[in-house]
Amino acid sequence: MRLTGGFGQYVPVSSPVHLMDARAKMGLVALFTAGIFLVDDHVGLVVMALAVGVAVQVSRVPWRIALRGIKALTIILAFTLLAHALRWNPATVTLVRIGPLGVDGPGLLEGIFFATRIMLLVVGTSLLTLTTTPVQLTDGLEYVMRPLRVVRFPAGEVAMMLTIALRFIPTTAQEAEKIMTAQAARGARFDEGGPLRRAKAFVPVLVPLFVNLFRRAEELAVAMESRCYRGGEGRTRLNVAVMRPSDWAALVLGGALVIVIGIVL
Amino acid sequence: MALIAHRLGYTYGRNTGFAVEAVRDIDLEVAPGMLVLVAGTTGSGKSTLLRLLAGLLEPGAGSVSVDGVAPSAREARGAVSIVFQNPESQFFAETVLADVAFGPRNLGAGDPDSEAAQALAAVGLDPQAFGDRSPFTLSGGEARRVAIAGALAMRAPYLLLDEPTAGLDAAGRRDVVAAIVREREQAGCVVVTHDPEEFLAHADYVLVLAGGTSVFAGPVASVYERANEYLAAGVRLPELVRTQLLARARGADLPRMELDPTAAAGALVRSAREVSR
Repeated sequence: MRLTGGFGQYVPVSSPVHLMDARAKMGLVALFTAGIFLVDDHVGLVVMALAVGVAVQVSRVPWRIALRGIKALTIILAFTLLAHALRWNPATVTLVRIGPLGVDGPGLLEGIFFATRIMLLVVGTSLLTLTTTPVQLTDGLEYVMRPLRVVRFPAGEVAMMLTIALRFIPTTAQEAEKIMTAQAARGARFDEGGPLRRAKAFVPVLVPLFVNLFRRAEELAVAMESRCYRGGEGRTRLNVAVMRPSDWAALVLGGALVIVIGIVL
Repeated sequence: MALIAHRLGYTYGRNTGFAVEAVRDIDLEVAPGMLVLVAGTTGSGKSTLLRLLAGLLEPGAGSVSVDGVAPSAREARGAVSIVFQNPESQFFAETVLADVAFGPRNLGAGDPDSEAAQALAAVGLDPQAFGDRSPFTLSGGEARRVAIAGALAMRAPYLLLDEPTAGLDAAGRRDVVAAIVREREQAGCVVVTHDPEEFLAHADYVLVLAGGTSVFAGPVASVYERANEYLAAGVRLPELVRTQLLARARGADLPRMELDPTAAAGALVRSAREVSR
């Protein structure tokens, strides 16, 4: 079982999408999410699919990685497809019929529409984390959350927590994989027996994983304190992100696309 | 009967844009009773080689066989035991004895606790004194020896150890080396190390890797004659060897390399006496 290099992990290649400001990408993702839910016909969905396809191509993220998130949703997609396609005693002409259950053309098309919408949503939104480093992402989030300081929302601290959490996802996955391999080398089997036995087989992985995580968290806290971390107030940045004209242009184009899809089409 | 690697190769992320060739064209044969040292700089492929030998990675090229079968095959289960770097970070049981007995229990041993107690004794830890302790309360040297005992308890004919002495103090290193040397009587051992010196007096064979390939392979005594090849791999020459080479360059009569410090000191004194005569 390989846990590293998972869904949504940053892909370090050079592309125009990678160079975009994180805030612009967040804005585009928000617009895209709104747009995908405004789409109510197959033409709009095809336009959105084309937009996602162009974005993936321009981002130079390998298609295999960009589509990886879909695999995790196989069950949800299958359920969505079946829930719409299967009809009880369908009145219209059926494509397949098993007893009282039948699949008719409109139902199948509806199922494909909703399953495709979910797939596009996953691929489109995952491009944000695939093309943005965790540090850029949290810096962008901190900037976006800045207005909330008025109501004493700790934007800097929340951004730091997010940075650390995102930074340690691959580390924790690697650690889990390392412990699994080590326990497997001592004869542990994680793929044998029923669900209860399989769950119990993970105890030798979870205990050392959590022990190591708590130890690392304590070390990190001490290391941050010893380097005078006192929260987000007054912190400056080595690299200050700047929204360039191309970032604004991308946002305007994205907004225009949503308006066209949601209102005109 | 041997653990054999033939023209072994492995590439991480094969067929992707991120492919990294970690190991290439490695030949190695480890017979029971042998102690093989694998040295090399960081990133030279040592740990990957160990994982391939243990059957935890499938070779991308070449082959590995343990007594005639692939180490990942069901028939080879329990034939190769591996101790990773910092193995104490994998403790999970409430007591030292239960943690060491984990392997034998998985392999269906008749009396896992007895096997665990014997393994603890083999690494110089009294099972009565340590068996009931929590593994999370041990010192660095004790924890490392308990982790090695966990591998020894499996009674595998081949034992692979990745940096077994890293991060330990002098006493801890000495205890771990002694435990491995004792185990070598029961099993063929492969030790990956940055510092071959502490195992040199006991080893039979040395393999030095650089950039994933073998740049030096031969009996330990050949390090003396082929010191330049050894140095070219970027590995520090053991002080014992370096001292004898320097003495020989200054006229000392040292026909063969002594790998034991006491024997080396004796040879140097004898040579000095002959020169003074």
